Amino acid sequence: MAGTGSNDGNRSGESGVGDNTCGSGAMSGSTGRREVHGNSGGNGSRKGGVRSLAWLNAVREAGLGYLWILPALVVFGVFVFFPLLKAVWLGFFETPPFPNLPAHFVGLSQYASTLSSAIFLHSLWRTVLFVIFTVPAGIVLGIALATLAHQRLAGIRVFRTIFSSTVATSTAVASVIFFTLLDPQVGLFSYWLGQRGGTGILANPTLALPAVSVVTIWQNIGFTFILMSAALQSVPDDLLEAARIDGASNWFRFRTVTLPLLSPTVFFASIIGIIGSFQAFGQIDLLTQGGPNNHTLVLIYYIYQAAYTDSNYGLAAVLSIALFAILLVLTLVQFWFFERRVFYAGS
Amino acid sequence: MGSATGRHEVSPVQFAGVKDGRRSTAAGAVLSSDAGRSPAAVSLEGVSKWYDDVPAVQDFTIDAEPGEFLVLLGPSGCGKTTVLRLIAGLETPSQGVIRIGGQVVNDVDPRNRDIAMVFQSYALYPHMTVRRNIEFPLRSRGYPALERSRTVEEVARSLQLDRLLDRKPAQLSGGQRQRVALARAIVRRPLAFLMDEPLSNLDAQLRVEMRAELVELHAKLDTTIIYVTHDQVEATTMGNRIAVIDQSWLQQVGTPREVYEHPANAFVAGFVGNPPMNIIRGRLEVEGDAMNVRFQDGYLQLPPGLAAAARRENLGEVLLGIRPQDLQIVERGTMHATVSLVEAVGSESRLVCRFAGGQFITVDTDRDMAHMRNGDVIDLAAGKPRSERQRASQVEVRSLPEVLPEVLPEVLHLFDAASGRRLDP
Repeated sequence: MAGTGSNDGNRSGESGVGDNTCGSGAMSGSTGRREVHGNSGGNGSRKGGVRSLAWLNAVREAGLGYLWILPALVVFGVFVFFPLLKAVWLGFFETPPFPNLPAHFVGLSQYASTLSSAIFLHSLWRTVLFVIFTVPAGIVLGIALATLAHQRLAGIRVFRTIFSSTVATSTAVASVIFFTLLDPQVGLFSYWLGQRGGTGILANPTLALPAVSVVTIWQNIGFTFILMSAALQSVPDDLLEAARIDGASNWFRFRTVTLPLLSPTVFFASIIGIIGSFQAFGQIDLLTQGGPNNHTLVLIYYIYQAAYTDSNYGLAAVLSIALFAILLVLTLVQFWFFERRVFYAGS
Repeated sequence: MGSATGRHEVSPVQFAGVKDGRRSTAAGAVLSSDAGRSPAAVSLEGVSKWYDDVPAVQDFTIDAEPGEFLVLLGPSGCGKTTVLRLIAGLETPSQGVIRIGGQVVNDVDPRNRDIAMVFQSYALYPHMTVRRNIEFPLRSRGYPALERSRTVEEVARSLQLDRLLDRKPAQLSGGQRQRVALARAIVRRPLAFLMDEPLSNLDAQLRVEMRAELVELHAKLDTTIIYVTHDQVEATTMGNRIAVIDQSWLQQVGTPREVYEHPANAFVAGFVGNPPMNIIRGRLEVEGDAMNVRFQDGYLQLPPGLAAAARRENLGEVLLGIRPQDLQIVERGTMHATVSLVEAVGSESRLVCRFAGGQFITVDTDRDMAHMRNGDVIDLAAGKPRSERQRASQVEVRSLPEVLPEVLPEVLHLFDAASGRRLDP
């Protein structure tokens, strides 16, 4: 609807360009007003009768349209919009230290204090670090594996299957596997990394977040691999052959031809990966519970702790809204990108 | 590799060629053969390529001489593109030797073969501007930026691309894309050009223009071009020589004229020429001194030379090839056919007829045959019309000659039905 509204505005000098759907747009061209489905009513028009009829038609059509989307609206309303608004509302109330006491309205002050608190900023920073650890490495690995699996070799299908198999592995299973591998007594990784004995890697403030990141990368690699494989296959062979004949070395060819053609997929994978990392919960809950000393306390785990460990619903609501805002921005960036992308492909 | 002199010194010699008003400077400037770069020979010796058990190219031996425009002609799937890819190095031969400029390149990577290829799809890099596309071969070889941009501008100017340098391929028409692909190929002055059906994606009008332009380009570049096509008109109009390929075997190599006038076998006979040559299956028959080819709807007497050859080979079944314009409609002839379709265009006509056996036969005549109807039965004879004067009088009175046209040996092409091989007198 926003688009329709903006078209109603005065645009002098656009006469004749106007949309002619209601039959009078072109005639009122002298006023420079653009008509779209008669939404601008009859103001300033000598042909008010025709317009109001068109307006009625438009209303009827719009009404019918809303009727069709009503079921979806209801479902979304109940399960998405209402909880969202409720969360915003909850954020206005300070949760009492003991249950069953009345919550106490504090307005925006809880937002302000929470979002500027050291623990929130710490958590946000750990989240950003987690994203930095997981997303680029995951994509680079995904491209590398996809490139490897793109070769025409005997038995390459076996490797393709192996590389994509983590898609079929649940976070819980992955976490348990790595929990064992990282175990200070029996874990192979602990042995390799010289971290045998003691409290273990997952209890090491420096190594805990990287360890959780490795699990996440491993878990996501299958999906990234599939994405990148598909993208690689969509790079026309003759482009690569042309580049070979044109004298490009393998690396030059990859850098100047393959990678640019993969870039939309790389971007897509980054956005998906960033959002995914912002929402990564299972592996942290199973491996570190936010520890040691909050070093893996990413935002979503902080929310979880606030809500379910501390029963501080007000705090959890504020944090949720913050996370929501961050993800919203990322999603908008993604939308913006894909619109551009569609434009590019269609041009 | 190869003679690398002058690779870095593309001098801006102005090309003064004028083709027509619209495209006056087609492919000039850098493209002239000044830089001391002589064209290279490309030769294949006993080259075969098998994909598992499927042969794509078998025992292929051919030499493209330096500066030659060699066309590989054949129906789709015949292996001609594979030959090109073998030369480019995109495929490795199963056996045989490939030489470019006298050097064996079997184990040389495509990027070091110093050739350029124009793909059927043009294979332009979609994310790069025209400028970046054209300069890619220079960039990948590490030419300095200044020289790159100078050379690109020059090549672009000569192909009328200078106004399009900042566009992306998606914003270009088919013809413009074709030019960009050409520009990218010539920018580096390679030893030889390989072109894989470069005109097949263009509309008919543009194709005719580009054909002429490519021939001009070839002359200006003084370079070896190996050109793949399935279009025999393209092949005969552009090539110095044509190599006809069918079912992975090289059938014949020769000038367009040789291939047209002396097709080495029935396949070449039927493939080269528009409309295609009529190929009639028949049986040899001795009748006194003469030798006839008999088919269901009559017979044709062989001229003495061919008769002797046929007798020598002791053949039974033969294929008789006659070009449509070498068939004459006569009052009383030895072949009879039923008219299926008359295409009368002014004073010329093409008749598509059927023999009783169901085989189609095309007859081109320079007489107006508009009065013929589907179902009319005509008599045919092979040969050239006697003379211009006689023809003119025929048109006037619309009578048919009673005398059989003289059967000249070059009018009849005789092939062994079993092997398809040509028999020469």
